[in-house]
Amino acid sequence: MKRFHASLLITTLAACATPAFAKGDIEAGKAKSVPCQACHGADGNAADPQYPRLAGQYHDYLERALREYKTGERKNPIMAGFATTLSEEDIVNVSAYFASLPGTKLTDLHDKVQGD
Amino acid sequence: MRAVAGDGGWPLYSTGLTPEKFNQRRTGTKMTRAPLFAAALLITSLPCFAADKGDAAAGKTKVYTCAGCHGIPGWKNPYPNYHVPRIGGQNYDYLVTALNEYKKGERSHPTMRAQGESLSEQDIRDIATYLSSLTP
Ligand code: HEC
Ligand code: HEC
Repeated sequence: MKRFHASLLITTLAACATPAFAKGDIEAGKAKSVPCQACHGADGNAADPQYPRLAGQYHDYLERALREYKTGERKNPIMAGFATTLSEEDIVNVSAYFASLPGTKLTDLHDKVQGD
Repeated sequence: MRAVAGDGGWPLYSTGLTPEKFNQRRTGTKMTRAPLFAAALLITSLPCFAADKGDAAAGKTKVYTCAGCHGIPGWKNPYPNYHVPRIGGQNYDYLVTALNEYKKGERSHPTMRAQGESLSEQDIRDIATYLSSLTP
């Protein structure tokens, strides 16, 4: 059992060590993120509760959300406006930037449900 | 005043008791009717003061089914392949909006739409209250 846990831990660590933002250019993303900060916060931790926190969110989920706003698959007039100003490259970069921000408030539910 | 059985939910979540436990306790302590009635009035009137927010303790039990996908760090949605988003510590108002968007079909993800449809307004408030209270 101990050994099983150890190998599980190693696998998990290895998965975490793989940079989640291998693809994007964080610096270029930072430059593109200036208009976003008004709502999503300078640190990506939107203080106004109506806006989602982006800091530390998975980069590929952020990309997916931005593409969906752009195509209209996800319907929100505000974000549709911003997403259409972004090229595919911008989407990858800006997602990499927000995912890389330190001081995230977001967490997976691991250990946080009844019975854990 | 909120109808006790209005949304089909268990109105005494705030006591942390299941219906079974509440009844056990009720019969066990031989409470007279009057204080019980007063307590019931107090409990059912509480949501009127906290108009928006739900009950974090109730939310904690209701997110049990969510953890299968949102619980595991690095867990991925299969097709298309991307990470299931982190929802703990997200802002309360946004969580309520997001769950309602799935419910109304404004967001397309099929499994999350099914999740949204299965939740009452009270469930959504309870879950959002609990999730927004979490820290990494
Ligand atoms: C005027 C305010 C505003 C600005 C500026 C703004 N957003 Fe948003 N953003 C929102 C709102 C509101 C939502 C939630 C919309 C919904 O319900 O789908 C959102 C949602 C998002 C989401 C989805 C998050 C999730 O958890 O699903 C992403 C990603 C995002 N914004 C990225 C950006 C980027 C990148 C920019 C800059 C190019 C930007 N936003 C600028 C208001 C804004
Ligand atoms: C079968 C796996 C699965 C289950 C079970 C599940 N989710 Fe999700 N959830 C997802 C995926 C995948 C997404 C991203 C969907 C998208 O792209 O719109 C998501 C998105 C969300 C979002 C939007 C996050 C954001 O930043 O906008 C919220 C909120 C959410 N889920 C809450 C819940 C709650 C509450 C439950 C339990 C009642 C739950 N989920 C159960 C897979 C799941």
